Amino acid sequence: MRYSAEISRSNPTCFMFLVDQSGSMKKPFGREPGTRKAQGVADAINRLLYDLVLRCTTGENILPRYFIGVLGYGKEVGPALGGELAGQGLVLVSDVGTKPLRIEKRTKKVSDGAGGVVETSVIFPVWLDPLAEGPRTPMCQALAEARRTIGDFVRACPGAFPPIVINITDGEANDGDPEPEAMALRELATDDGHVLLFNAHVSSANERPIEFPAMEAALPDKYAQRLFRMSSPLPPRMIAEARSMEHEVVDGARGFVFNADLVSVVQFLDIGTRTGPN
Amino acid sequence: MQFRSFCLARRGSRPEECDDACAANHPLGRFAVADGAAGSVFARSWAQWLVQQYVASSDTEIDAWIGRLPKVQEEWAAQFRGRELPWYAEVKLQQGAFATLLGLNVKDFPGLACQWHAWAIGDSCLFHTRGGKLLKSFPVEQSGRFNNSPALLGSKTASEEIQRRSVTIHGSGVPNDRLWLMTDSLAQWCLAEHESARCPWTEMEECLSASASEEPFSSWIEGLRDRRGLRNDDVTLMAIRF
Repeated sequence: MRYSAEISRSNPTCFMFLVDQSGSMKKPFGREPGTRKAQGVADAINRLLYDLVLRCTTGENILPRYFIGVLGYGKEVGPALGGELAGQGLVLVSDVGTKPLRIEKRTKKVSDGAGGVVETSVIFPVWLDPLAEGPRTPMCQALAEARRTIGDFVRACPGAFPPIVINITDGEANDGDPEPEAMALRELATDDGHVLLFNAHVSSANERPIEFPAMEAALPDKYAQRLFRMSSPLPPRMIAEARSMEHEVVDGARGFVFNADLVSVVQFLDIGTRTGPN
Repeated sequence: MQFRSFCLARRGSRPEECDDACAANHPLGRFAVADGAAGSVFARSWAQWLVQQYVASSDTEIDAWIGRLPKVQEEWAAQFRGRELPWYAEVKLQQGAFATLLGLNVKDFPGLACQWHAWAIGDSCLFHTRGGKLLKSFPVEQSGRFNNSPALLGSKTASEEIQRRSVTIHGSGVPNDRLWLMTDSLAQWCLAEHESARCPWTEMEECLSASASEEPFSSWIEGLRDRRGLRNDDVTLMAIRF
């Protein structure tokens, strides 16, 4: 299990996002009381999709190096992208890039280079709007659905870099114990390694962010601890890449973050020569 | 002075998707190799623009060339101004395009000697060899020193930063010496062979003398990718003989 397969058009990999859309996601973030968790999660997914599209952009084209799926779970379990991508399980990154729901201009504060900040306008494509409905959090069902879709992928692309599944949730599954389902999903493999399952826990508690821990005991509650156990250890190559980007990641670290986002996980993928700063 | 050049796309890519570039201005003795950073937008266009601008310039001093770069950057960016681009190309263009660049100036005194100096940002390499023996390796000297984040020259990089990332070298040669300019994957392979007491320079010589066509070189590269550990990346080689 090497996690070293080249990711290319002829050997694409797969990213699948599982998005908690249960009613509890209406509650505010512990770290940002003014933001509902559902909004924060939608923003995180939109940023991840944005990042993945840009990673495949060359000139005016998007090279189809990834299949991408977004699965929502709440009142219902199913594909969560809208517009022209509605109802599709896995779509090519080139279609994701060309078919957002809409493109917004948002303002962002950036350094003015002289110790101050200025507001600048940035392009923010939106593929997913916030949704928080129903009393259920059917995480087990979502993991089982992901296993079916990812199972199809690994059978069709046995030489691929192993699919990466990213689950973003407030952690409170109520359709059973998600741990066995998570383990079954992680058992799927290509010739290059087992499927990687990473979890991002967005909590209503105002706890400090934790990124890529190696120990369960330091986590603040039983939901975080369970999501930690469900998460795959980061492969050595990703740990090396993370360290080269000056993240503090210890050996044995897992693909789990608490009250933090997972954009960095995507950045740990070593795909060709990276672009540097200006 | 004679030279030949080759530019091959990585396996699985079309020739027009090769982000490497090379150019030569034989009368002025100027040569350049660049490797467009895969993750940046219009990397191929930027790499090609850089090598063409380098060999066309008559700046003999490196500082003069670096002083010219803001204009080179501005003229490259101007071609996209006002163009309707999809959102992802527009975002990437704001971030800028990136490439390594290796430039070489040679002053030849035919039949006697030559003087050369080179300038680089990043890991495109120059090797000076004589009769199969490596005399100089620039700017990378060991195969283990290559990584995925080489220094890069961006379409928006400020002059002071370019100055900071630049490295230079000079040397002199005698008739029949070779200067090899190449992008990172082949350079890393050559250094690894050299470190294992093998002679990649002789292999390349044989490849070049086999035919005037590109075929022996591309077959050799395919063989290295298949069996001898050459990373699947774009490959550019310029071979200069005094």
